[in-house]
Amino acid sequence: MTAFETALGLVFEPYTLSMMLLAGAFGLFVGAMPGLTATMATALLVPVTFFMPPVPAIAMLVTATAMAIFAGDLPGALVRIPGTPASAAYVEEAYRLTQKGQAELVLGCGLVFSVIGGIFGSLVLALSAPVLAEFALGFSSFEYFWLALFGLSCAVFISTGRPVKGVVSVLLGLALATVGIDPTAGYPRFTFGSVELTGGVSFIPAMIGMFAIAEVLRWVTSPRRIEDLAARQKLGNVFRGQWQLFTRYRLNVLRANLVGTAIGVLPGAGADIAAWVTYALSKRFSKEPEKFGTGHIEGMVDAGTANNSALAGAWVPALVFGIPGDSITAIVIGVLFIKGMNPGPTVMLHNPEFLYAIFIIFVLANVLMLPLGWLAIKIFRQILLIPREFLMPLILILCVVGSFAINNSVFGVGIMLALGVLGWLMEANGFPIAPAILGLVLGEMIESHFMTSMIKANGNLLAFFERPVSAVLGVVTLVVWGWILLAQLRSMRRSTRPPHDPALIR
Amino acid sequence: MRVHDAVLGILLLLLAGFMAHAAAGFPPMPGQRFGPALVPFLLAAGFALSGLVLLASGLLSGRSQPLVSLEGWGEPKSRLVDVALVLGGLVLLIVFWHTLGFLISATFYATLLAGRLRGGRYASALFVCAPLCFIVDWVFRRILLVPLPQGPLTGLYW
Repeated sequence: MTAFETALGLVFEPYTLSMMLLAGAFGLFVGAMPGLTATMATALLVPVTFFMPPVPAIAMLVTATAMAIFAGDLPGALVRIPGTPASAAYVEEAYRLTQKGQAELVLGCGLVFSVIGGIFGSLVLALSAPVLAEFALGFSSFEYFWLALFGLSCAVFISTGRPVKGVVSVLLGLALATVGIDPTAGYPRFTFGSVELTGGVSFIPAMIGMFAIAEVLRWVTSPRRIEDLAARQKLGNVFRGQWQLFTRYRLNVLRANLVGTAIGVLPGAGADIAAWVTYALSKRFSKEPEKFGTGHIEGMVDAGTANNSALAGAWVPALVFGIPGDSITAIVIGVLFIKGMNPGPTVMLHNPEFLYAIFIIFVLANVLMLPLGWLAIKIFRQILLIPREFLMPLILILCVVGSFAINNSVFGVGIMLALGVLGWLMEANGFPIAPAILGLVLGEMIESHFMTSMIKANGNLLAFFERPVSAVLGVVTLVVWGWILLAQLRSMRRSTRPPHDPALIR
Repeated sequence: MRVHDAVLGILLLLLAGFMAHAAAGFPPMPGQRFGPALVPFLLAAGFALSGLVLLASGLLSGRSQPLVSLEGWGEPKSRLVDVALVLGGLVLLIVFWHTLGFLISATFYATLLAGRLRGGRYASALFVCAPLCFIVDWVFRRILLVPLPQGPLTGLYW
């Protein structure tokens, strides 16, 4: 039996399929609730996946995130609150279309083009990952160091807000990663005598804290109000008119797929950045740019396609190099390690059936989105009726249990709480969260490759540029840092004017 | 909760000082010119530079921004109590984790929080939160085999 056939057998087991259905419903629920993100859905699912075989565990995560990104369009269209940050780019457009009585078209567009984007991204993942993995087999510590640093640099470069705050966010993540036993000499650093800290800052409680607890705190401190246009909308056949949209905007769809997947592949950038960039491109190249912002579907077609194609794209660096493409794959990498599917170029040699299974799961999850998404649109009004006053305490309880379950230690809950407060304060002050998370995930990898390279080169920094791929990656990374520096200088020059520090985030 | 850039800059400088001071005490690696202190030193330098940038931009911005502001909080006093309840409740949950067990402490915490967020309707909050916490306890302890503590309820229910 070939690896592909084994993978098919693993995915089409009733257990895996039922877990995908459950995760799909969960993802739709989380995505449809304003304020809860796809990353949060992933973080909350992690404790559940601990106790599963690898394929159903990964299937749950993939399905939940794909559904959550689509479902983020629902509250955006009906109550002008993006369900996830990935829907924020076109929320105004969607809402204005709904006000014009076109809710059916908007929601159908969100669903159909999410599926198209998701399947395109999955195909790119399936075709490019094995090729890149073979190429990456020749990488040494120099290339890995630069690649990981490039990922972090991109996270700073792409984050909105002031560059210095993105830099601080990365540094905080890296600093947290230095806690515990040092990877080269085995010396305990910043442990303050705590035995639990010698193992480092547990990654999953940190993620749960920085995303979920921070979001609950943000909700608690924000004015609570939902304008209910949803109740007045009549939703018939949401698939009506979608073929016409596809044929009219087929070039937009192609461009959005390509750009979305490319942004996803870029380490550090995810679905939300893909949506913003493609929306801007759509307006830039549109024949009717003046209609943007007034309730025009074109930008939504582009951005709705791109955010789902970016999801699969983000898995390319995660699987091939062990470097997360976005905050969701940052969590997924942790799960892959726990499940023994160590991401990296050798994954194709050691676990080809798992890799194929992931490709199949991606396609299946996106196909599954059609019926589940249709159902979600139909029952969305009921989802909105669930009082947030009950939901938030329940999320907190799930966060506590999830953080405890990692090591069966209440210490994890403490980490979740501490980093939750840190994440909340960071967001409120314009520091993006995603670079900190990437810093925490990549910190040990960067330090270990950096120290190994330094020892190999006997401290000669020029050795970091001696190998061809390493030199290219090094130069590109330095260019990105130069760009960040320039952007910061420009930002400081503007700082004498009245400020606006947008509430950025991830 | 927004903090003035200059204050953030000073905090980062303090963090840089702490990291550098702690790293200075790390032993070198035998036979090498560098060791476990190298990366913390580099990070401390990064924090110091970023701190200086924030301090400078905070001082140069030429505006009278308060050191700490609760901008965008709606009713700040009431929201402060909510935040204290969320965070204080989590601290208490950690403290009484083993003594009270998960089910009792989680039900108490969720009820208190939901009741407060619903404007003092604690009875209805208990009516919803108790079964929800019971389901979470059952799923994680019985199905996923997470050893959640049962506290005084040990042996009283499955």
